[in-house]
Amino acid sequence: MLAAALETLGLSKRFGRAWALRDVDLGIPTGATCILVGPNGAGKSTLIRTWLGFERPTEGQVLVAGLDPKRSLAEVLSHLGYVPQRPGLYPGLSVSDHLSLAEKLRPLFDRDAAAARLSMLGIAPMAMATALSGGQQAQVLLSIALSCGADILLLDEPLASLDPLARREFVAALEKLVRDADATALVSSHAVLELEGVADHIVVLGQGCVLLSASVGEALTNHLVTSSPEVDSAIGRYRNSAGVDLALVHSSESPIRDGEQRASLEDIVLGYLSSAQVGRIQGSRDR
Amino acid sequence: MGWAALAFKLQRFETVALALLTVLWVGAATFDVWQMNSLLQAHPGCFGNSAVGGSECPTALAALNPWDQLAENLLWINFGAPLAIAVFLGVPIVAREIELGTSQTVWALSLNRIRWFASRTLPIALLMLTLLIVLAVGGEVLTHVRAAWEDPGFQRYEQRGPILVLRGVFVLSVAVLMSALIGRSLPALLLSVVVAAAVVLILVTVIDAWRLTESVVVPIGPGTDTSRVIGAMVLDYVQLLPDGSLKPGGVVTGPSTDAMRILPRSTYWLWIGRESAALAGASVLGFAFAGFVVKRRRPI
Repeated sequence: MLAAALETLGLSKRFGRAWALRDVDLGIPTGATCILVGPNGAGKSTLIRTWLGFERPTEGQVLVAGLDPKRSLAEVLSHLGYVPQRPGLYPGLSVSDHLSLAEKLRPLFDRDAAAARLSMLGIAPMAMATALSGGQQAQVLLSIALSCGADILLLDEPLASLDPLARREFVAALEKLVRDADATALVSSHAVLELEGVADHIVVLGQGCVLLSASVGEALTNHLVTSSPEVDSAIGRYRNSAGVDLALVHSSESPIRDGEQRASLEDIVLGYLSSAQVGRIQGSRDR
Repeated sequence: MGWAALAFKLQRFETVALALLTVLWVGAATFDVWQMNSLLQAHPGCFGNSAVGGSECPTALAALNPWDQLAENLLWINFGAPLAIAVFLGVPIVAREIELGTSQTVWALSLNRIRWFASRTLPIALLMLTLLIVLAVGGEVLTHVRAAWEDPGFQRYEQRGPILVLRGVFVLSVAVLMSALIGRSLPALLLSVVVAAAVVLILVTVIDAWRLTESVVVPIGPGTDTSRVIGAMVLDYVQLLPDGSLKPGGVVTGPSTDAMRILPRSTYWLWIGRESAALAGASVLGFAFAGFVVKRRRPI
């Protein structure tokens, strides 16, 4: 079995009195493309930022390629390429200036590769970075992240600012780049449908806890949805886009019965997130 | 693109505005020195400690007066310049990166955040040094010409020379520290002004107390040797009692002599050196603490 590229061991992170992450144990296999899903405030960005050394764990430990950012930050960062949620590009600097900056900060940065990729996408090197569309800005950052010699990509909601067409292009580019570079990618996103085709691992976070961490294949095999209202072993209940009330259940070895069907990745995410929501409501009632 | 070009592009407004203001100051000072020099040369007996006087002197003095006033105003600008220049250039270094969200990008790319911090700060520090050295030299020239090219001693020592430059360096370290601590430009700017002014005030108070321990007492009276006082730093006025002890001015009812405690002009470089060393030390601490904060802080 390949070692985990990204790991957390009993990770908890608290901001003031609020826990952003509670006792998170995760392992993202090397070479995997992982979708990190969760509602706003679930702790997705905090988790990513902890691997980058931007946040220090309150409890537990994080590892990147087996290294602890607390002890070996430079080495950890040399493994990581990062695209933040909010594109952090400099106003007044051109795309080419950004590549020069990356060249200064990362000794292994391959400027030619980044420039070639941007040229392929029709992004002019002399264009002012902040005059580009949100999608193009994300592409600039992704190109930098991919060309800096990193073998692990952390992409924090890179699709959020993109239109549907740009999303599709971004996902296709990500798939190709991850495959060509044999890299590991962790993509936090709400757009499960769009990433379903490229992901081979899924992590669902809710209220700072891991609700599900599995390979996409396992997740699809092990879950069913049922429209039967009396099922009491439901992981979560939710209403789909057609307005039908459904329940997500673990699949058994017995054949699929009437009213049951294989769960899609979106069903799985909705089921787990609804379970977290119920937990929150119950938790607040208990208090 | 080098770090200097990046720094300039990121702080274009501040660098251009401050450079232009400095050029204006230099232009005004040059014109002022030229005017005062012309009067000094035309009426050599009317100015300075060796002035002998003469019928043309009242007219010459009247002609000098507006230029002297301009020099005074330019020197007052020099008093506030280290604070203004250092704060305007220093605060954006880290705070603007955090506000723009670019800190996330560069800190994830940078394998050594301290090196990033140094590379980002150094060009701005060098620019600030250049501007302040220009003002410091200009202040020296203005002070010397006002003293008719005789040694001005401690006159306006804070508005020229090394103290002006080193105060700027110290304020820059405070501005960068506040910028890193707070991560927001406007609050960091306001707090930098308050903290830097407070620390400089404390430093000056401590150095003043130290100066008193090495001061010279000069009795004031008809027989006072005025050459001892010219260019000296007057620390305070006291009462000199017959037994040689000193009392604060105005509290003695018995026989006493009015006196002042001074630092003679000859000790100018000694005290400038001491104050400069204190400011340099405080600046090193400020930059080191700022580096520590940058290394540990969140990028947003």
